[in-house]
Amino acid sequence: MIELAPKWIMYDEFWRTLKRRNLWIIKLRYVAIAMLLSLILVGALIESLRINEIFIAIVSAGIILYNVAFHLTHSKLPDGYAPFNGLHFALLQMIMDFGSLIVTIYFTGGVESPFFYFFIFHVIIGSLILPRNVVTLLVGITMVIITTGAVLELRGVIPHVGIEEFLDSPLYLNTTYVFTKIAILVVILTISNYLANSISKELYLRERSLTVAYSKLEEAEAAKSRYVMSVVHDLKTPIAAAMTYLNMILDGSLGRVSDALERPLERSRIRLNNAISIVNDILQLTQLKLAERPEISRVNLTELIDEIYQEMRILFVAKKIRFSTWINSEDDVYIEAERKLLKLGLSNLISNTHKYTEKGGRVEIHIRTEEEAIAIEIADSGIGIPPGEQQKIFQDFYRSTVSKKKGIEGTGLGMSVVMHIIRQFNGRISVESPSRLAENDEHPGTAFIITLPRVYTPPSTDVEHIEI
Amino acid sequence: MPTIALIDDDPDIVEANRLLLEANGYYVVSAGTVDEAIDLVKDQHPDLVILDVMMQEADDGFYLANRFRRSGYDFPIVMLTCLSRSIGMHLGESALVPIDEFLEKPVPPAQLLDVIHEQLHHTGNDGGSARDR
Repeated sequence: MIELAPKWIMYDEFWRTLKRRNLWIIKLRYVAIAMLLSLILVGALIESLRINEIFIAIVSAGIILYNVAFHLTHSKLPDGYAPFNGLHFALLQMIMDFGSLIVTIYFTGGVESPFFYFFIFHVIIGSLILPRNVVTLLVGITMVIITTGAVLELRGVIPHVGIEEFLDSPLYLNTTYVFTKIAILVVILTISNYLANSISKELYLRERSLTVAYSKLEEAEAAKSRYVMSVVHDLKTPIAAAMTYLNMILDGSLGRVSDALERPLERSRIRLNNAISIVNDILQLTQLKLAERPEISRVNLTELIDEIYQEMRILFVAKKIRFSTWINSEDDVYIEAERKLLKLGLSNLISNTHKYTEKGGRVEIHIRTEEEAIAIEIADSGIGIPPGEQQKIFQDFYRSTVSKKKGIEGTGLGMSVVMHIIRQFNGRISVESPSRLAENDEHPGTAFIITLPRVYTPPSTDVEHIEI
Repeated sequence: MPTIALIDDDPDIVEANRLLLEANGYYVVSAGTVDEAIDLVKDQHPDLVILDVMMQEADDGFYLANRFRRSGYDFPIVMLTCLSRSIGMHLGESALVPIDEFLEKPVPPAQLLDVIHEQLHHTGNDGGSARDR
């Protein structure tokens, strides 16, 4: 089999595109057939235009026949490279079309034919698919046939079949006209072939580089996910094994635990639990960083906050923390966001208020709707954040000196998760301590103010240069 | 006495869970690899299987779960994994995972026993557990 495919197009997407284009040509051909058949109608309507209807019907039937054959066999084309592939199929289509056009031109007046320049479309379509030299060869052969036919008609060797009364004086006998017309056609076809082929080659190359870049990105993403999962698995497995034993010991399943051992064992369990939550937080953060585009929907913010509160209500009640929500609107407030992510972010912040507010404290959520944005202030009367540390809390693993001093367990990743989510929604976050609920120096409180656009706009990311 | 198959490549997890389950009146058999697990299930006809997800391969657990179901076994399968539920499920997304319960390690002993009890109760095989007596 002739090798039609040059090296630069050897990639999967090319073959799929090729298959689509082959089908596209088949569909276009049905239109061409319809146009050809309508000529019979035109011939019947315009008295002076004598068209050989029988001939047109025969040619149309021939084209219909091979087009249906192409249509039926098209689906069997391989999706990739094969000894007989889409390029051969396209070449076959071109050959059949050039053939039918040559026959049509002969029976509609040779060089005088109104279809003479129809070769241009065929060359353009062909150049979009086939390599330039193949189309050049095809054009060359066609031109030789056309020229030979014109010369034979000129010499009277073969009869001239024209559209009668289309032209006042027969041009096919005018040597200068015949050769000039053919020469012009050759020039037009060569230029069309060159232009269409250059453009399509460029497009193919660009498409290929994009495809390659995209699949590389996909691979990298998958590799990252696999890596994260294996790290998480390897970190959690030994902890889980130790915890399983510890749980059993503490449950008394393996016999009574002496009072002296109970506290150390309980502490071990707490610390191991803490280790697991660190691993889970890292996992969550990594997942967020690896996440694809968020699924945006219209979220009822009022309802969402209530849902989060209901889930944590017992915790707040246990600590006797007064929790209240204020909204500057009578109706429910809606926002465009990914519900899951928004909930995760707000849950982190609300659970922080619980964690860092001491017994009997207060937590207030104020929702302010503005024209284009919604501001959510989450304030507490907790231990606060020293002014010098307020910007550091957004860094991964940062834990404030106050929280460490108070012995509050944490991973220092919660705010990173929040930051990441806010960024996803193109929002802003700021921190104030003391907050509006400040009680005294011991309990200055903290307030986080999040501003989110009502309508989702994707985060602005710097487009990184992709190495191919 | 219901037979429970513990399939996990971590010997400590197997041993600790074995202690727990045996203390609660179950007969425990175990396997640490895919091949051992297949033989174990064939020979011992367990009433319930506790299956780890990531063993030698990241999705061995899902592979086994599918294989058991295809082979016509209808015992409850409890998936026990270190990964969080969402990620664990994500791993098995490609195949519709035929499991009955998904637990995240480390699972508190009481919760594990509850789940086992509940699953056995569904299938009516809970006759011999010490928890019932």
